[in-house]
Amino acid sequence: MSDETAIISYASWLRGVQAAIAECYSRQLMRCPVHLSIGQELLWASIKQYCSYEFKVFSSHRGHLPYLTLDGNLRAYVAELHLHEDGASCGNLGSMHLKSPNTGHISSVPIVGSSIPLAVGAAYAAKHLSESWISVAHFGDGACEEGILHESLNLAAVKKLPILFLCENNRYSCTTSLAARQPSSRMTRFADAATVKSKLASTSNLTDLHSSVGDALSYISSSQSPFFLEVDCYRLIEHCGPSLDKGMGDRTFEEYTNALASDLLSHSLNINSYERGFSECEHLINIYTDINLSRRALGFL
Amino acid sequence: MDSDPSVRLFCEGIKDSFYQTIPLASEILRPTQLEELPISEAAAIGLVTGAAMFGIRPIICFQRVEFALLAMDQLVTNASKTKYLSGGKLTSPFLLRLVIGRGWGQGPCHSQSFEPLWHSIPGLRVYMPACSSDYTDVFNKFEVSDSPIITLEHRWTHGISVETSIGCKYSAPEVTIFCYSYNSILASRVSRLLAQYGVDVDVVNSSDFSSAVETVRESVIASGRLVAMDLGPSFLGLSSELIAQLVEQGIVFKAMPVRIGTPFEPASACPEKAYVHFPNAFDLFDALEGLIPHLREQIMDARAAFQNACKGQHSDVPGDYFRGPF
Repeated sequence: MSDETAIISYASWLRGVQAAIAECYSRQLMRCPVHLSIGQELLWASIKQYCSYEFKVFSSHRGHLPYLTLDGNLRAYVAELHLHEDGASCGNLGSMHLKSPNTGHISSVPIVGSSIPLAVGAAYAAKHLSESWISVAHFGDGACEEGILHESLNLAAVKKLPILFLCENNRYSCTTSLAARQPSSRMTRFADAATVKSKLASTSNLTDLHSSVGDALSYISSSQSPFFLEVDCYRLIEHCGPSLDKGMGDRTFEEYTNALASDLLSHSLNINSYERGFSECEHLINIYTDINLSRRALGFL
Repeated sequence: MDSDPSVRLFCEGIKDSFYQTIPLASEILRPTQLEELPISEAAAIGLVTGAAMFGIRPIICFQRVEFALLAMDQLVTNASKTKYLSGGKLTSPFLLRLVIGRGWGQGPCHSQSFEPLWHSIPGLRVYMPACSSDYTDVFNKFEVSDSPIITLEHRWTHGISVETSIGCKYSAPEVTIFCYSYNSILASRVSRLLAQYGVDVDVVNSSDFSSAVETVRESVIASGRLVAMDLGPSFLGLSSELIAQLVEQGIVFKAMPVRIGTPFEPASACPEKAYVHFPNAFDLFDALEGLIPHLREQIMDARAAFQNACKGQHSDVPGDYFRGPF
């Protein structure tokens, strides 16, 4: 199987899993804010192909994809969303804190930008303890409006640390468009200011995206220096939950229609992988739905 | 610490020796263990939190407490919660040294300590050392800690000689004074003076508030009277918490406890106004007069002796031991 076929297959599985979450969220038994990445799957499916690298990933509230990509334990994922003790964090933390420290997804922090300097610290440890892992700060365009990104880029550059600043520019912060928040749509300009090498890629060009990810990782590994990769993408659903933002915020229905029409994964979807992801996830959701329903019947939920 | 190669010392202006507290460190640590920092407090605390997760043992110094306010999110969201958020798989032990300014026009933004704020964050250990044994204790605790530690270092506690004893203990004290940081030096001085006039006052120096209540309790059971001193405002201060816990434990007071702290307003840079703003020896004499009126004469004599000793001195330096100006 070629890399691109594998990426499409895994991205389709990721979308199937998330579609099942979206469909079942209305049962109101996943009692936490769920931030899905439907529309943004190709990036993490690409990263999955570079599993020969050891990663330490620090993510945000929208951290389902790094969790699934690095860990893949679907049961612990679904249980965590149901705040059940079988969950990845024993049901204590829910959707906004998904992590699996043993497999390299070190943390997800739901304060925008807050986890970025932790990744700088993991890179510092790699350099000073002669470890080979690549530290990844995973964030969105919204975090680029926080001062902590600027501080972290500067610190990583001056200390010459092996870290990937991975920015998913999905163009929205909740329902507010990028144009209303920043004077430019390019996040790489922040890297330029800190003299950090950068590249812009897009989920609409898979070949370029995949080679950009590979180039970034090999640059960091060989030069032991920071790299900033901006990935243009589009979140096809609302900020928090399963629906469209129709009638809310800056998005128009025409914009959705156009985005869906140009969504590469929708066009090249591997139906089998999608359905497998959907059914595996739905099966587990049904299990924890029953558990939570019976707990509610006992007055515990 | 000198034998541990994972120790790293981070400081803005590391070559300035951090109030003469680093030269010794630079002799026992290798140059690669000393890290200059950009003026980025939030990222720096994030960095040490992340690095400590993977085996680095960082000590990080900020020149004033107020600079740590810029790193509040990293302390509250990340550093203090590493262990909880990782289900015990990761820890972030680092030592954050914050300096409390006083004197030489430090004013409203360089002389705050905010100890109630730091104590209100679960997952952080907080110390407020007064004397050299308190400082040694902080380093010993840090060597075995799996949590981040904040040490609030009052500038007027730097340079105190190793021999100076802080805290006093009597078998039948008239009054118990709860204090920490520079207030302990002040209270010890007043207490030693009072002893010369036959008034025995217990000074309970409490660098570690988590064990203070128990120690104060023992002394208050003997004395029945309490003066509780805060570095910052009395409003919502550590003294409030202390007195609440003692009351909950059923301690019976012979007289109502007295709190001494700053007013709930910013501090002036003017030496005379700052002297009145922060707890001083005369506040302590006043409080003791109120608590033990039968010893008023002796307290007045001690007060006069103190006033005499201060004559001709600047009010914005603590004594000859201090190497300032700030």
